[in-house]
Amino acid sequence: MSKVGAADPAAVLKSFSSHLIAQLESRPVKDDAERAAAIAVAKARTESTVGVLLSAAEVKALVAASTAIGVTVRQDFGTRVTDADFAACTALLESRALDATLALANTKAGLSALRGVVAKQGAVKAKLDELTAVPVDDALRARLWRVLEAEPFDARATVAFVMHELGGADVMREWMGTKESTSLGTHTEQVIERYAKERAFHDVKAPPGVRLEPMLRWMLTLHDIGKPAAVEHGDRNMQHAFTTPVLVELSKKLGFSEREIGLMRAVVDNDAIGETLHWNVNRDLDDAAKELRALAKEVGMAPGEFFELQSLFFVSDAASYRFLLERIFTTDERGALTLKNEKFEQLRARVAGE
Amino acid sequence: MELPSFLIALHAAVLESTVPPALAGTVAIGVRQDGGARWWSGSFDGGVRARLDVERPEGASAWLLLGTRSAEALIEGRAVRPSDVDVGGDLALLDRFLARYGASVRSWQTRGGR
Repeated sequence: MSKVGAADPAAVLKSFSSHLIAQLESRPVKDDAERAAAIAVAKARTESTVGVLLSAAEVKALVAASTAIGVTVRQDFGTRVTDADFAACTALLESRALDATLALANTKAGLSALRGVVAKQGAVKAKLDELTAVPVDDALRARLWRVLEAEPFDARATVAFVMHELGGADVMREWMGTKESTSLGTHTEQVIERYAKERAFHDVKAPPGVRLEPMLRWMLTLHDIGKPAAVEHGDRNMQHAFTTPVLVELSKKLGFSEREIGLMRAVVDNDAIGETLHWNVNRDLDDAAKELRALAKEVGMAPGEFFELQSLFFVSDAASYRFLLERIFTTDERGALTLKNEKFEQLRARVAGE
Repeated sequence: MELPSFLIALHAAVLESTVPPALAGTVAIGVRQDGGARWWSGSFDGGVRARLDVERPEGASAWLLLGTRSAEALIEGRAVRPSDVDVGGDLALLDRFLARYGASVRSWQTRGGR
């Protein structure tokens, strides 16, 4: 992988891989000569398309350094499409132990299958508009953050906020289609209360820039927000398809960062632990571990740390259902809930790569 | 973080096609990764110009953003999780793009089908 230093713009451009095309976009520049020199250096060093790749941090360093001289450099491929470009792509796939022919065929089939996913977004979009229509201003945002940062935290306060400030009263009163005949609002309060009891037993580390406690409290408040809509839609299995966009859109409007939103989404939008432990689903451990590792990669966390966060969420949610609390949990000497099923610890080990 | 394999394969699929794309506009396809995203975008105006970014191109006419697990699933011939997919912009253009470069391949032809 090419190494890029952040300090010296010229060094950054010089180290830019000869296998990448540096595309320079016109921007207001400090000095035409500087820009021309940068373009000349970049063009001289670009020959092909894909080959050596920069990490996200390196790309950021490159962009920052190039901006300093008045231009933006981007990784680019395909400006000159040649057979060599295609060969470079397949070689790169092969270097990752993938069968390039198969990967390409799968990708094409996947693109085709995505058409169906995109088409279904219509039903979700209509519900999303309904649930996220409330206008949000700075005052409303400030009221939410006061609720989320309050100590001691009151589980009923955030549910009340969604009901009365965000127009979610009807949704919170709806039945969720589960065995226990609770409303979404009651279930949500129970989950947050369980979370408050279990929080101290989970050493969850937040990635940089994440306001962990308010984020977790908000995530739990909305973790099932789309479930009644999925039930109404006639397919409870679509709960994540309805919950995720509402969680994302409302969180954006209410001042959460992209990173916080990505993290909330990753934790809420999977059933990996539950499916592994469920006596009927009995999901393959390796498959579940693979999904959790992919999610950790997505949010930029170490897999073991992500698992700890995921397990805190799972315990808070699952133990709020009485039949699950009695059936799958036991209490240890500290008073913490622990899972009886040994597959939980096996999954943890596989996710963490132990 | 390395470039998602799905985006490389996507780019290869676009490169492999020799038929004029018959699309107009910019389509961006992204994969969430490392707390951010990596984006491939193709601008169509008779030909194709593709690029890679860490941010969604501002001028994208249509976009689709996948989670890491769904991107991995696609390249392995497994189904994506619908809730893991975000879309925006001109969805008709996005659909034409997916139809143009996608292929109706049966599962036995992909997953272990060789």
